[in-house]
Amino acid sequence: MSHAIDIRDVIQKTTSEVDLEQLQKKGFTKVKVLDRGAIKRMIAEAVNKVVEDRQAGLSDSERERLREEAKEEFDVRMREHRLEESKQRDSLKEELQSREGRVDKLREEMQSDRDAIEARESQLRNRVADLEARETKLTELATRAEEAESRLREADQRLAQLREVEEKIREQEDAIREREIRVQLREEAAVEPAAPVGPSEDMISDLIRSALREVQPEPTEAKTEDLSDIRESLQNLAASISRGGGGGAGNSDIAGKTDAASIEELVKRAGLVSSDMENNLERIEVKESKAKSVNANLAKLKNLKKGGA
Amino acid sequence: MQEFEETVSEDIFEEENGEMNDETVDSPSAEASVGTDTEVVLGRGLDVGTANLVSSVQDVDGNVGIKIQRNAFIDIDCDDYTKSMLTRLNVQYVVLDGKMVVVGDPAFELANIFNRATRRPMKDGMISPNESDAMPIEKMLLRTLLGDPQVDGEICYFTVPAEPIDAEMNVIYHQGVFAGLLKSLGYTAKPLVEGHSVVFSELAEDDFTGIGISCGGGMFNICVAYKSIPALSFSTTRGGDWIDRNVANVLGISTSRATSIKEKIGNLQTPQNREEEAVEIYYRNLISYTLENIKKRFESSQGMPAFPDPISIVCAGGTSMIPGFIDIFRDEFENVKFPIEVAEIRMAEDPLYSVSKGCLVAALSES
Repeated sequence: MSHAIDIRDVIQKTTSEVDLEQLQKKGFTKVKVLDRGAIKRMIAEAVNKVVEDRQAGLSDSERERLREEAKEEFDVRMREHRLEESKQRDSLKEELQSREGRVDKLREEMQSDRDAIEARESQLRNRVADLEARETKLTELATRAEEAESRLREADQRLAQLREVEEKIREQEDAIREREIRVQLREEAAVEPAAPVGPSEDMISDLIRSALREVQPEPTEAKTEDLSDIRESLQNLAASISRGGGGGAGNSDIAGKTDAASIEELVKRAGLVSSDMENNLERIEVKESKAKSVNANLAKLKNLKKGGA
Repeated sequence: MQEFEETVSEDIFEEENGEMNDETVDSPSAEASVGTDTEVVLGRGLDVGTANLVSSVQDVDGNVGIKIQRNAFIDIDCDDYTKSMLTRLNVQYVVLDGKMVVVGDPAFELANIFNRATRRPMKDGMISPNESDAMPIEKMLLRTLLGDPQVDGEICYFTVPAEPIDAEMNVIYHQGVFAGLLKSLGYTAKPLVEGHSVVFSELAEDDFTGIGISCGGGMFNICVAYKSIPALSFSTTRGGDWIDRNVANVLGISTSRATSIKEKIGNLQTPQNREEEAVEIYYRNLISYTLENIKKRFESSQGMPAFPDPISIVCAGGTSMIPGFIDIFRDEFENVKFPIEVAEIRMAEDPLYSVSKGCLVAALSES
């Protein structure tokens, strides 16, 4: 198979360029110029001349064979050309279909995004409306809270004043009550001078002082209700002493009382009963376990008390 | 409470005057034998709890021995066979008015089996007015826990509740009864506010500064202390029993059953069924109630110390032992705008023994 001749390439490779000035220096003032068309024509004429010369020596059969070969060559080239063209067409078609598919997919995604954005926008609008409503409500509540706080402050001030007054009254009442009890006891002692087991005056004073100390709450935490408890306790104590120190209350009474005598009585009874009770407690092992030493805590406490860090 | 605070202050100053035995900490000079091979240091601690009675004592090697009894009993029919069987099963009983009274943990177990409620000598942290007949039993329980004093008048610090802020209750009567019972056993009884006891046992590293909370069966006791001195003490009448009662009410079961459900929960933060959810709800409510009350008291009390550094909060007591308690405590704490800065919220090292150990520290510091 012969290859086609690239005339331009042949001219490029087989000619050389010469400056016009150089030609002038050599004495050439005119040049004849051949363009590419003229060269092509000259080659075609030369080829035709060669072919005609050769054909003159060819037989009819050789000429026919040459034509057939040329035709076959042409057909082969034509088929190759069409095949290549068909392949390119198919490829382009596939590429087109693929791109159309991608465009459809992108369109769908875009629609989905748009729907999501619209839904989110709707949610946010609702949320903003909700927040605005809450803000309004909070503002109302804050206003009410400020009002309530103001009222509370006033109430606190009044309560503090009341507590001071109560404290003073309580102190006075206690003093009066103690004096009354003393007077009452002296009167009873005068009527019954030989009471067999009655407590001495000093003992009574100690007992009253002790009871007062026990029932007195801290001044800063005094409650209105405590006053009635204190009064009741002192009355019970006075009643108990005036009976000659005897208790005599039953179980149900004891729990409701606060005075030292009833506690003493309850503990005594617990001791008496428990010593007689049948039991197996001594024979049973109590659940025991070990714990970490407390020496470190003791040392720290000592150190702290001595003024250490 | 004023009386006790005065007592503590006096104790502190006594030591400053050199009256405290310095050797108590390192090599106790006051030692005695209690009939066993171990020699123990003079001084006892006793946690008088609604749910449990816990005693503590320290031996010369520094080991703390703990004895614990559930503060409950139940009466059953009395016969010789049952007596013998109970002794063989290591179950404690007392015969009272022709009835057998089973005491301690077995009482709770029996009540649970027979779906009955245990009888409780104490209610809401104090002697129960309805169970004054139980005093002989209470004394016997104390004897089994403490034994006889090593020397006549050995010091025993016992816990008392602080003044309750949500109920009219007589702390003095309760304190007097237990002081009397201990005295009748031969001890010199000294009261210590429960929350303060937690401070003594758990806040040594913080210079005894911070908030001690004893989460008990009948009450929550709170003590705010600065350098071991209580600045604020109070209690609320809601505790583990309050949870049990409410859970029992909403679920229609006995309180013993509710207690059993509560004590078997794997983690309070992840309830597995309706019953556990009920327990979790009431726990949250109780913790929130306690924190709100602390906050209110802080804001309303005068003369509160200005803490220079963030403080610690320590929770002790049987009610705090449920897994997940401290996490829920921290959760609820986040919801409260607390008036002071808190560095840490933690559990006591030995939650069930912490209060008793605090009493022991107080007792040893005086022995």
